[in-house]
Amino acid sequence: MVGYINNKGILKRELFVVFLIFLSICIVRLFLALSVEGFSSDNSYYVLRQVEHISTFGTPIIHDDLSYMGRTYFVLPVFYYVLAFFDLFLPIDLVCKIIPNIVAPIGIFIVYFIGVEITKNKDAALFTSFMSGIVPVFLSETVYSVSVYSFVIPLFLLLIFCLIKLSKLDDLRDAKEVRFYKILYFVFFILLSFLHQSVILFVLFLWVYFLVSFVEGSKVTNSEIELTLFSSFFVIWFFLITMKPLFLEYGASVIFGGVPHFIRYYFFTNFTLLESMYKLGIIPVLYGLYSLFRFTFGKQEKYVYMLVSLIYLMLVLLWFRVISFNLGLIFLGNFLMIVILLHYDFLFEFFNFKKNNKSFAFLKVVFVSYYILSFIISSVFPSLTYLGLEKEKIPTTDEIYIFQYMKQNIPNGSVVVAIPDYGQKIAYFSNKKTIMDSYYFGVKESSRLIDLEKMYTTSSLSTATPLFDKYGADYILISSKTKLAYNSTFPSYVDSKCFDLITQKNDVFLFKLKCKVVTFET
Amino acid sequence: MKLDFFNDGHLSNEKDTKFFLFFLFFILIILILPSLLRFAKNDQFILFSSDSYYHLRIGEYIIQKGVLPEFDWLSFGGSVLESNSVFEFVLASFSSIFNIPLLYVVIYLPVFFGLISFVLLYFLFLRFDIEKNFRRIFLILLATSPVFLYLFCVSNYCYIPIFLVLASLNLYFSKRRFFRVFAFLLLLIIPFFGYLFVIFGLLLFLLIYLKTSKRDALFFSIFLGVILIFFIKEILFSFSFKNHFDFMSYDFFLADLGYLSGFSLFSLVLFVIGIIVVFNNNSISSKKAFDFFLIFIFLVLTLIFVFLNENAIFFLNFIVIYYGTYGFLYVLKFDYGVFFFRHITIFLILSCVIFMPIFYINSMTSFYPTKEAISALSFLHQTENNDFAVFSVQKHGILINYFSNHPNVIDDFSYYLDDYLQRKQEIDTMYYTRNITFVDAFFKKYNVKYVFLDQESIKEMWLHDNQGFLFLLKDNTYFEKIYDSENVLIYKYIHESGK
Repeated sequence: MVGYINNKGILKRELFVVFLIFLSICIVRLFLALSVEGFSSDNSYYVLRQVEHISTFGTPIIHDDLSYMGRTYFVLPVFYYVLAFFDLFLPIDLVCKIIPNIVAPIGIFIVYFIGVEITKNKDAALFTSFMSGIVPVFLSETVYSVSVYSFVIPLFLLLIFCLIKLSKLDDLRDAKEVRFYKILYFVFFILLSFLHQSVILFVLFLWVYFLVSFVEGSKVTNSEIELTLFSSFFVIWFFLITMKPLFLEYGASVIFGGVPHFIRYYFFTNFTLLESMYKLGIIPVLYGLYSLFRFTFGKQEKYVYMLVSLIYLMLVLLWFRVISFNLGLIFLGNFLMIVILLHYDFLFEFFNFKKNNKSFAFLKVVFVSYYILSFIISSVFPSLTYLGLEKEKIPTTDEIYIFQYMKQNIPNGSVVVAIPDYGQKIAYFSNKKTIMDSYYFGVKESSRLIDLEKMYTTSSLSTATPLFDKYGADYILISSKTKLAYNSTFPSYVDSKCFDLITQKNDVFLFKLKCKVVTFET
Repeated sequence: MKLDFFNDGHLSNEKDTKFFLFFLFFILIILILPSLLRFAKNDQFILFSSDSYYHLRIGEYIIQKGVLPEFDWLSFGGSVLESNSVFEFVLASFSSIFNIPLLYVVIYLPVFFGLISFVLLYFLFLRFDIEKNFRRIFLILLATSPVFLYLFCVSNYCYIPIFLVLASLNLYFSKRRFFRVFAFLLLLIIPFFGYLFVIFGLLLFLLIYLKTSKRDALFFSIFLGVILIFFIKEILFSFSFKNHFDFMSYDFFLADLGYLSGFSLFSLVLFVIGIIVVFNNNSISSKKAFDFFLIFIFLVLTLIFVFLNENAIFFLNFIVIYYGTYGFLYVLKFDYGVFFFRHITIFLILSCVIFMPIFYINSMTSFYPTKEAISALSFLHQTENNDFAVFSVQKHGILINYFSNHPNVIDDFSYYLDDYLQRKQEIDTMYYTRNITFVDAFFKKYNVKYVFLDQESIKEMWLHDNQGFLFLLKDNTYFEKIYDSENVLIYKYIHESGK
């Protein structure tokens, strides 16, 4: 890119440092991901199944006989097709570990470019880009999992970069550059639309930005209006034409992952500041909030209004539990990095101003050390903690043994009672049906949630067996994770004569139902 | 008065007869299509809402007896009618005078009034010298809006008074005094349809007075204000009973998300753009005052919609489309920096204009009630004794009356009755009780013999099929299943206390 290459045709020092940061983060991510077998989240196995299906048949799975004992997916296919493309060269397991862990840290570059664009302060931008590579919640959700957010976040940041660039360029004087960034915006926006429905969040952000600009009396440029008009109508057209049946059936919850309200209130925890601090890093949260407060009031540059709009939108959506806690924090974490850049800009400017003063030079060393140390304590350690927690969710060898056993020994078409976190794993390893899994998009029946909980918490055979009959289930999988999920002990009814222990591997048990429920037809 | 935002200097009362006639034909097609498609899907005429069947039943009564009913023998197990049945009287009159079966009147009278209303609106625009492009786009956006389609395809109380308001406006602006007197006479009829139309008429004539300073406009609005005083009790009553919005349910006013008579998201976005454009435009102060008052009307109607009466959406739609037209024209005429953004954006907008009504009309073919529910209730009509009531969820009440000829326990029109709250509370307890003694007492009190449920209601009301009353329904000693199709169930109550 022009401006980043010096006269000798070599990347400038700062960009080289950013590249080193990117490489280090990449290496750490890949090391962690490749050091384990399997993936932590249940949804990762949904992705694996989709990629495998595309590699085999050329199309994604639309109707799935296994998930929820039969359901239809709404699929935005770009993510799966990209992974399936690399599957031509590498085994699928490796593709799903390597590609997302290389794409996710690309955000480091974008944060750097945004930083330079906003502040012209390369030191502040460098420091912030380094921090943006270590957002605890983003790491925990994307290192051990195949997550579409590995692609979504960098694209989001790219769109914001294009907007910031366009807000600073003059339509007439810099016509060529304006055209270039508009085309870039167009390409990234279309890509994001086909990647994930969080593109709607981006359009919402544009309107919030307009509102904030109006309130603050800041004039919006023609380019911003043009992009907002195009984005708004494209999203309306794309989602209301292609997703119309889903919107009619499931309402606006489709926009935010299609998670129905009864599951939202069951699984989505309340937004709390304390947990946010751990998952985002204490320093980013504190400095981010301080910067937000400082720059909310008074006349500011346009990019400040953009960043403020982003943060406020995410906070509102999190507060009302419109989006899941972790998803909201992933977005918030990355955007807060850009906001605290403004704080670091001020700091580094101050130190540069005083650089000839020897006592300030000493203070600069102290402060920089303080920031690095506090960052390590507040972001790196929580990252390691959350990564450790995620690692525990990876299927153990015992669980995989049971899944493989089910594949070989249980008849096709059998239904297995298992917690939602096992749903897609069982579908992937064992090719068997489950009552419920963690892909909640478009789930309508609240009864499954309650029934499943009852099956794991009741001690009464007469309560449990009709539920088995209701779903046509013949098997139940019990492990320490199921006990943890429902905070319950081993369901005692499986010890009765109606259940046979088929197989066991340490603390993972598979039981088969022997008795049939007799019903009298009226 | 000129609305000169996009005036390009030409005379703006230019008639475009060809466009008008073509568009009239288009409106006719678009309003008839839903009923024809629904007929093709079900092999019979099924009305678009359960309220339509209420109008049909009362209309049939008026034709048979020749008087307006004061007592409804089926609703709520038998109750005094609060409404004056003027709308049903109009339906019955049309049927009798023109010798058309009442069913066809209920289906096609809204279409007829929709066409006339469109013509009146067009002539109003000509009177106000509305610029041709604005006029055309307004009418296109209006005709393709879900609210307009619902208003003039589904039998409801609103299409006749809206027609009367438009007719009154047209006559008011005529040069002949006689027509202005006739306009006033039409206004006298509007209060019979409810306070909502009185409020709207009042605000509209205030707007006209603001714009034209004509004293008779002020007189009309004062007159309507005086009429409104007689509705205060009803307004307060509605306020206490209106189910307030569940703002967290998200789909509370968008047709795209399932609300039956909602706005389209596309028109709302255009509306927001139009508002911004109009208020940023440096136009003359009197037009600014006009727009401010129109926004005031919009806010008042929104409050009415939220707190009093959902039918206010039909009036809100006109304002949304009005500013949406400004938004549409702005998007068309905007100076795009990159050419393909312009082409793509316009293509997207045109696609939305074309596809929105197509999707909505398609969804209308699946509106409640379903053929299965009707078949089940018709089966119940054949039972031996029509005096026994049928217990069900509230929304089925009117349908139970019409098709089974049995009384219901509760329906959507019962809210004004004195013991409504008490009965509602008992019914809510009934849904979730497993206490057979309570069920015995309830069924005895309301003379209930049958229970009617469909799968959609079961999923809405209960979390699982063994919860509360559903558990009791499975017990053969209490209930006998006498009808079971894929989606609809009817049970007969066979248990009596003490046996």
